Amino acid sequence: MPKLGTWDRIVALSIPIEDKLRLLRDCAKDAGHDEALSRWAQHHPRIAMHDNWCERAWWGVAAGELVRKNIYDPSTHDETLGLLLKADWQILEEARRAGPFIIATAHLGPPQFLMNALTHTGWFMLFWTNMSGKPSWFYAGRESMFLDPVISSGRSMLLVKSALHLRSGGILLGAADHPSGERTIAFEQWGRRWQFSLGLPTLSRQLNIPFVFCLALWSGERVLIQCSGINVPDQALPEQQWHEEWVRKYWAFLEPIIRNSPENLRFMRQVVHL
Amino acid sequence: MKRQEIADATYETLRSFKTTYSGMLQEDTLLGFGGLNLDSLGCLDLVLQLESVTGITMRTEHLTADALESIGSLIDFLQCSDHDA
Repeated sequence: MPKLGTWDRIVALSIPIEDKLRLLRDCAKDAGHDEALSRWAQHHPRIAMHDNWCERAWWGVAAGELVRKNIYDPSTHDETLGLLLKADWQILEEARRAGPFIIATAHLGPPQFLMNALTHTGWFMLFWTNMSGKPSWFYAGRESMFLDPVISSGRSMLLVKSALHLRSGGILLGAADHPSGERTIAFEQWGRRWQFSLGLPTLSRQLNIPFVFCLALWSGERVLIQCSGINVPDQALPEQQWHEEWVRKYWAFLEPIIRNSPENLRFMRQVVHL
Repeated sequence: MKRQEIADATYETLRSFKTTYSGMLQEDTLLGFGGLNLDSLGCLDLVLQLESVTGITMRTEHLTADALESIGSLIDFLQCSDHDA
């Protein structure tokens, strides 16, 4: 397995981030011997199908943690966002021209990347994000753009503040694979339980607001933005059926990535020790 | 609207909500944990229903950190939004 401490040594090097990402690829070649990762792969054969699955999954976690560290360092913030391949914001621009909308994302791909890239657009944004561990310079002067669904005062406010923001013509970025209320829809697939919160589809239906699924994903050592088309809520469906339909569409967007892209499995962070 | 009218509409709306709360509804009754136990979905439902019942459109600038803490703070929030209409 990659030696513990390897990630720390690479991160500390005074070289461009892209070079660090390439060095992590070399380290990842030893990931096949990572006991915890191999065991996880054996228990989830329908996810861990590729021959070099452990290597790619390890790299994705290591690269993601490198991004997380550098994106919140003011000296490397811009360089990190420079990893973004020419952003195709076309779908989002089209949605924005039509009015307020919801960007539904998930915890796949490099962490925090999409949110940080969107903060530079100048759009009237509201972000659901865990604010702990982020430096104060990041929020300075724009605290109203962020809502923390984890802290207790944030939880009750989450959807009301989001609704008022959307009604003011704003854009909301939130993840449905993170709690936004007690109601969820869960199902089993590939030997794993997947659970999604209903805050975003509720907002979409109650306020008749369109939504786009969007992720920032690794493409080699660069990042690309992948969006679905613009979806509008089906007001004819009863509430529960609407929620099920929304989750079905969300899952249809996420499933191919989970199946085919081990470097974008952010949830493997719980398994990999760097 | 007078505050009492807003309060009456709020209590009536809350009485239609299914909660595990068995106590008397009053201004210091918490909306969340320790009171009505409304989560974020419940708070959204409540706010949208109150808008429909009262005709008051809630305004972001009055949504303080404690606006959804208790029945009383919620009534205050509605009243402030109404004054600015």
